[in-house]
Amino acid sequence: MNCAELAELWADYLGDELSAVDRATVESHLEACAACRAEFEADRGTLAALTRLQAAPAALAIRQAKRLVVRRPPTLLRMGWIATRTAALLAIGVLAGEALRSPAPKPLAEPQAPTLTRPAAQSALAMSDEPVVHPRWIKLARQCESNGGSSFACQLAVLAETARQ
Amino acid sequence: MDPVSQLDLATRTQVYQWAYRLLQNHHDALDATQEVMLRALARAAGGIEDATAWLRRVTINYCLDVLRRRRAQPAASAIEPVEHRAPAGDLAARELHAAITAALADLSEQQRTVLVAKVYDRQTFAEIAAGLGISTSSAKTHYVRALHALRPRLTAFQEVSS
Repeated sequence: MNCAELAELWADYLGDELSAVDRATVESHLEACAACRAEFEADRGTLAALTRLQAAPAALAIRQAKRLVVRRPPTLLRMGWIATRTAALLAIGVLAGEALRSPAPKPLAEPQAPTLTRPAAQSALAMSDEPVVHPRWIKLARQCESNGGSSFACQLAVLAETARQ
Repeated sequence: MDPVSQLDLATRTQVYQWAYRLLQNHHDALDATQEVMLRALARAAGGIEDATAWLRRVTINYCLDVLRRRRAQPAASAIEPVEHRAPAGDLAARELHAAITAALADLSEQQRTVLVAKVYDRQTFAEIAAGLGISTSSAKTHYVRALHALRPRLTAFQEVSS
């Protein structure tokens, strides 16, 4: 392998997408070529620095995400909700179907259905399990009601507003 | 649990992780997740071709905008309680965070999106390319160019390898 051939495999090597055979060939070249080895060390150093930007602990991330919930509607609205649920699930499926490449996080035990209570301050929220309501939900719900909106976004916004009342 | 919320939890968690990586602040990450989910729901009616790629791009751009505004008004920055800070809550970690996010902001959107998808989400180049509607070859080029653009910005933070 020469330097030009290595350049074609550079992204795959850094991205850990080479076969074992190709990787061995690349590493043999790196051992022999100081210039390519220096380039590799530089890019590896950049990647190492990037990976020091850490993710939140998985359990904490799930806990935070669970605070952004929509409550199931009261009984009177449930018939209408059931009728539109299929469409709603399909729409959510577009968003969530490919969301995670890594194994899905194990959800924490949820002792009761999440509820929207009073709206929490948007900024400086305490680290708690307090549900969160974005003020734009409320505004969107009112717009939907006035426009007779039936889109999925309007449905969720109306449900969120209903649960608050 | 409501079926809609159950299906959506994975998405919300992923968005939160992207936001937290960039903001390194739980309060801001939660706000960002809310904002992105609202935008996603508003957009869902019109259809999103690749939800993951769209969400990643919107989250990254929103968070970098938050950071840009925060740098412009340093006195108003949220101060994270010690127990809620990033694990390496010292000056060096904050400097690294600032350097990385500033460098990411200066990349092209495609370079930035490819880099985040590869480094943090560990997607393959084929998956990244499919999500962005580009060729695999282009995704690889963006990745390498992004790394080279970041190199001089992050040299000071590179740990000496053994």
